[in-house]
Parts: sequence; C-alpha cells; structure tokens
Amino acid sequence: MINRKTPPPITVPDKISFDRAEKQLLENGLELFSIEAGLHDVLGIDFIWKTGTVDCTNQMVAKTAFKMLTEGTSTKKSSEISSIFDFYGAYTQSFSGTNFSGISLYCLSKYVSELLSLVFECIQQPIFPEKELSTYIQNKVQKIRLEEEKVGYLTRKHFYAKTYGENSVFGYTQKTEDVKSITTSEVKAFYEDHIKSSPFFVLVTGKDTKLAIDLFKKYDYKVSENHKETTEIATTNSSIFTEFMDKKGAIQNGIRLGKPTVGAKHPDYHLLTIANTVLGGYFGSRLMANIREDKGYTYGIFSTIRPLTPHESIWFIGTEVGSDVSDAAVAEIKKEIKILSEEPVSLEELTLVKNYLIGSFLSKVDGAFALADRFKELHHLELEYSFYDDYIETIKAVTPEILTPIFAKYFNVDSFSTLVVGSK
Amino acid sequence: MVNYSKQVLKNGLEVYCVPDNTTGLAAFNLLYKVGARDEDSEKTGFAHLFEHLMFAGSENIPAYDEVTQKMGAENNAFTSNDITNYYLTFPYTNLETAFWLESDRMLGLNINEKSLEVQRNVVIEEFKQRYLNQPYGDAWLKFRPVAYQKHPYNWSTIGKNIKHIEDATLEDVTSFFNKYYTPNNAILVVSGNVEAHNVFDLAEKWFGDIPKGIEIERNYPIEPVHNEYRKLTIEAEVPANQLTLGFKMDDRLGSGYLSADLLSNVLSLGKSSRFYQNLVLEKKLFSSVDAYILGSIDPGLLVITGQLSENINIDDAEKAVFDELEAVIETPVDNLEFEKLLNQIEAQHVFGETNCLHVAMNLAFYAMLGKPELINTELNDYNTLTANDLQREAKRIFKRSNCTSLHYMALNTTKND
Repeated sequence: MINRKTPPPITVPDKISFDRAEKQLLENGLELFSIEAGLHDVLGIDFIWKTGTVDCTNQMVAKTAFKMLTEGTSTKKSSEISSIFDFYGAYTQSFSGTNFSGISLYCLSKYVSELLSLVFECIQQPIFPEKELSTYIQNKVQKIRLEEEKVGYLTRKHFYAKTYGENSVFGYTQKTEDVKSITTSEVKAFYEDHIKSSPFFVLVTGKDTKLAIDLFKKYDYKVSENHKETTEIATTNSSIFTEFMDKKGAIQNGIRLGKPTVGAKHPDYHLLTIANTVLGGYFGSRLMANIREDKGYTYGIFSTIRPLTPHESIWFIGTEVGSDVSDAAVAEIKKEIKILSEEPVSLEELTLVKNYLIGSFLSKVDGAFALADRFKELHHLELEYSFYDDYIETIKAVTPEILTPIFAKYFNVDSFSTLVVGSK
Repeated sequence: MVNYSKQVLKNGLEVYCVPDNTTGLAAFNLLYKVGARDEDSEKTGFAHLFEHLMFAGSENIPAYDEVTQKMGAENNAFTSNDITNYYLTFPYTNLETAFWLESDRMLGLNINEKSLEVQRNVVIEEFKQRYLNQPYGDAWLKFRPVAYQKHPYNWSTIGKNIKHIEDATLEDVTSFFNKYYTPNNAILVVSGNVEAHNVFDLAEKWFGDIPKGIEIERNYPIEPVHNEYRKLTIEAEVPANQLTLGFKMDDRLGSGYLSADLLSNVLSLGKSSRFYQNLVLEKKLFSSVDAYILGSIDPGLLVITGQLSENINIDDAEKAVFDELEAVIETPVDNLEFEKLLNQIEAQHVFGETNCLHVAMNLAFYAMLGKPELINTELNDYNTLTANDLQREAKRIFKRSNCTSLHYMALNTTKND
C-alpha cells in the first residue's frame, strides 16, 4: 500500500517565460504587433482604436458604430459579408470601452487573405444601412429589457451609477432610451471623426502571422489630419453610499460592496491584487469559505478589482444570496474584511494564495489568444511587459506583515458603499 | 490531430495521455459515468448535489481545495444528464499531486452531516439563482417532462424540485458513492506538458490499488416513439414571449446524429444562417433565434428557441419556423452552403484543439462512448455526409408529430419604455 498521508512535493515555477508581442512600424505608417505562437493553424487579428464611449454624447453610439462596421459596405450587403465570414468558418467580434475599441477577426490561417481583405473593406467603406441599424436597435432594446429582469445585472448597473453618476463614462450602463434614439447620422459622424481616418494599431496572434503581416504591408493606411483626437478622461467624481433598492418578487438579493481605488500604475497595485485574492479572489477565499462553504448563504461570492484607467480602478464584492439572509451576509462580509485588516494572515494561507496566483497566471499566458489578451490589457493601461515581471516578483516577495496594512488602507469598512437590490 | 495513448488498469480504470510540450500546464480530466439519467425519479438532482460533496474532503485529504490552490491549480466540475466531469489545470511539475488528490477522492470521501447540510444549502441557492430568479430560468424544468415521458432525461440536472435536494440523506450519499465512483466507472485523461510513460506509471501507483466496483447495469427506460405534437404554455413576468421547439433526434452514435448537428448549423450558425437572415433580419419575427442539439448520449433533442419581437403573434412565429424547416425538407442545401457547413465544422474543430483541457474533456467523452478514436475521425465522418443525408434527416425529424412546443408568454406585454 502506498502512503497516502504524505503529499507529493509541490513546486511552483520560479520564473514564467512567455512570448511577448513584437512591434514593427510598417512603411505605410501602421503600427503592428505580432505574437507567433501555438501549434494550430489559427490566427486572431485585432484592430484597435483609441476611442470609445468617452467620445460620444450618447454613449451607445460608439458601440453601435463598431458593431455596424460589418453590416454593409459600398460594394457588399450585410448578408454578403456574413456569408463570406461564415463560409470560411471565421467570425468577427467588435468591442468598445471608454477609450479602447475595435474589431477582431478569428480564422484558420489558410483563409486569412480572403478574410482580411474583407475586414479592410468593412473599416474603409462601411455604409451603416438604415434597415440593419433599426434591426440592431430593436433587438438590442429587447436584450437590455431581459437583462434588467436579472438581480445580478441590476445590482451591477446601479452600483456603477451610484458611484460615478449614471451618465458619466464609468457610471453609465446601456439604456433602452439611448439605444432607441440612435440615428444613422450620429453613427456615421462618429465613424468619420473617430474611426475612418484615425490612427489604429493591429495585433496579429497565432500561427503563420507572416501571412497576415504581408497583407498589412500592402494596406492603404491613411491618417487624415481631420480626425478628432480622443477626449481625455476627466478626473472622476465618485461618491460613497448605502442603499437598498426594491425588486419586486426577488427571491434572492443582489449585493455589492466596494469603492473606487488606485490604478495599475500605483506602486501598491500588485499588493492590492494579492490582498483582494485572499479576501474574495479565488475559490478558497475568506468570503467563499465563510458565506458559501460555512453558512451556505450563496452559490458564489467574489471580490474583484476592475481597472478603469491607468490611474483608477474600482474594487467591489458581489454576490446573490437568499433574501432572508441578506442582512446577515452583509454583516459577515464586513466581519471578514475587519479581521483581515487586524490580524495578519498565516504564512500557510499566504503561501497557498501565492501558488494559486502563479498557477493562474500561467493559464493567463497559455496559448495564442491568452497572450493576445495580456498584450491588450497592458496596452489599454499604458503599461509595459515589466508590469507582469513586477507582479510575479511581488507575489514571491510578499509577507503577511506587508499585507495587513494594505487591507487596512484599501478595504476600510467605514469608507465603502453598500448596495442591496431585492426584497426585504 | 490528437495523438493519444491508452492503458487500462487491472481495476478497469481507462487512462489516456495527450502530450503537448508547448504549454507550461497540464490538464487532468476525470470523468465518472454517472449523470442525472442514473437517478431515482424520486431522488432527482442527486448526481449534481454529489458533485458538490466531492469537494468536501476525502479520506486522507481533509481540504481538497486547499491542495489545489497550493499546487497553483484551477479546478472545477460539471454534471450533465449523462456524466459528471472533474478537471484541473496546473503547472505541469505538480502532476503527481493531481493523482494524489483525485485517487484519494475515488478511494473514499469524508462526508459528514455538516458538509452535507452546507452543500444542500449551496445547491438550493444555485437552484434559486439559476432557475428561479432569472427570466425563463424555469423553462427547461417545465419543458423536459413534456418532451420526455419515460426516459430520465425528463428532469434537469438540478433536479425536479428543491424538496428532493432537501431530503438527501448521508445514507443516500454513501450508497451513490459506492456504486458509481469506482475505477471501472471512470475515465482519466491527462494532457499538456506530460510524458505518457510517466502518466501511466503514476496512474498505476495512485489508482492501481483502488478496488474495482460492481459492474453497473444500465437499463434506462426507453422513450416511446414521439408521435404527437405536444404543446405547453407558461405565463410569467418576463420581458418578451419566447418560443422553444424540441424535435427528437438520434442518440450520440446514431446514424442521423451528425446530420442533425449540421441541420442545426444550417438553421442558425452565423449571421448568414437561414434563421438570422429570414426570421430576424427579413421578417423581424424574432430578436434572436437559435438552433442547437443537446448532444446527449441517449436519443436527444434538436432544439429551436427564440425571443419574439414585440407585437408578434407566437403562432405566426412558430409557423414561420416550420416554413423554414419545410424548406430544408423540400430542397437539399446547395453546394456552396454545404461547403460552408464543412468549413465551419473544420474551424470549430481546429479552434477546439488549441486548448489542452478542451482536448482532454473531449477525449474523455468519446472514450465514454467507447470510441476514443472519434476525436480524430469524426471530422472525416462529417466530410463524408452529403446534402441528401441532411435532407433525409430533416424529413425524418422536422415533423409536427415529432415536436414539443413551449410557449413562454410574458404576462406584462404592454410594457413600454
């Protein structure tokens, strides 16, 4: 019989090496990043502009403009465009944030030439047809109505709105009335000012990136002097609040606690990430151990830090719990935070969190598309790859004594907002 | 191409290995051949509740999750109507720890009243969060018993109702474990940065001495032939009317299965699909509409489900869907559309192979079917199909008399904002 009492030795990698994007400036002026990675014949290609909701009066316009790029060009109808993408088993995805937006193409490497020329056409000659826009609006409105029936969604929406103001760039969540009021001329104007002749950069990831790079070299890349620069994001005003919102018939209450916090460029940011993990960032976290695994109040509870700009993030805890135990859950959450700011975590618990974070970072750099995500994250927050090196070093060096003051400083129970949505 | 090797231990555990040295990770996937279809109709939701209990500690390892976190692993599990599947990914150097953990869970659990009580509550909250407190969340709870009359697919993995979960006892738990969590009822796949001989040695070392369990007889009640149009109407406070149609189709290894899969793609995969072009864009009957197959081992369902646009009569929408099905029955898909279908399948296949955990899960499932080689040959099976095969299958399954229809109606249809 083998000895099952003694665990096999555990090691975590001391260094994590992964492929980093290489930058080249093409002769046509286009800035292109590439990561040659993976065994399989697939490519992901991202076109990224520095624009987004910050550049619109109606914040839904930016998202709509990027979404509608593939809905018709001067030579092809919407259905012809989707037929080509579908024919090659490829797909596109648009994305739009405050000032980081674009479109991605995912395809088998062997078809990249046919597909990329189509994407070029979509970004150079889109026509934003009325019919497709009205269908998009109608369907989007219905999707929002569906979301607004969900307690989790409502809690998230109101938490941002209450924290930053419902019409500010960070407080805003899609509104049906804004979607309904979108006009073709607004979308076209946004395209003309911020996409058409504005600078963008490209990220090519996967196998045989050269196939795509050669196509970009021949691309007619023009930046006009008339394009509008993206609006600087103003310093945000935020408030701390405590509120209960009624949602008729809810059998679970949505709970959010949190507040704005420092950005990724702040020297404490990595420590904050580690502290947040101890609190609610993994399955064995203090919050999961108490609220789910000990009390059984919920299916899940998490705590997260979401970066908004290089200098600002928002930290929040989220959960959905049985309405009858809602108050008890909030009290337990506060209790856990208080304990962490007063009593150092044990070396054992911290070692576990360190190993977890290193293992999970390894997954975050595994495979071509994960590598692309890491690069985009860095670029969005105006960071260099050294950010990840520092992160790993910080994890390795952190001690319980370093962490306790971080809890006290950033998760102070007297200074954060509490929102409960549901029934009393 | 997935290059795998296989060994079977004396106690019946099937072990597969798929090395890939381009990743820093290893994936460990352990599939148990037990799902909701194996439950007693009076004790439903049990396979899934049991999945939760598997994380409550084992004979020699009181805190499962603590070890997975210490080894830098991400781990989870899911229960379907057919299987319960546990998986971890971790830095490849910790492979033996995964063997230690999973073999100990198979050897014996350490469940007590307290852990059972807590997990009952967690599952009840999951029931509320996912099935009761979401718009349309209960649709499948109500649809299954109409679509299936005899076969245990007539309940969902979460169970028929909360009471069954509340009533679960320690005795139920123990007998379930003893029957189903045995080496001869499991399939292990290890993929990623590993070597086959090492994987097989470790499998022998950690799983080799676990005694073989009883051979499980699987005699699921056979679903009678579906020969009537069945309709169910529900009214609730939801934002829009929803139509769901289910058509009985072949089992996972049945001759019509792949054709049915392609038919669902003809209808709704991508924006060039017939449903999107005709029902969403052109006729504006639906704000979204999908077709998919459940992928179950026993005879399954091809499902069509969509949210209706405002002020659209649900009977008109259902008729329009049947008109589209009629078109597939009447005219075979042309060469261009057929080539699209095969290209889409190829792309899905290649994208699926880029992730070592995904490969491990797929291989385990094919192995459960008794045909691990399908992971490499199934793409070719799709390629040998013809437009006539699809048409024949469409004729066979897209009949009103083979359909279960759910009209999920919004109580509050005049809502205007």
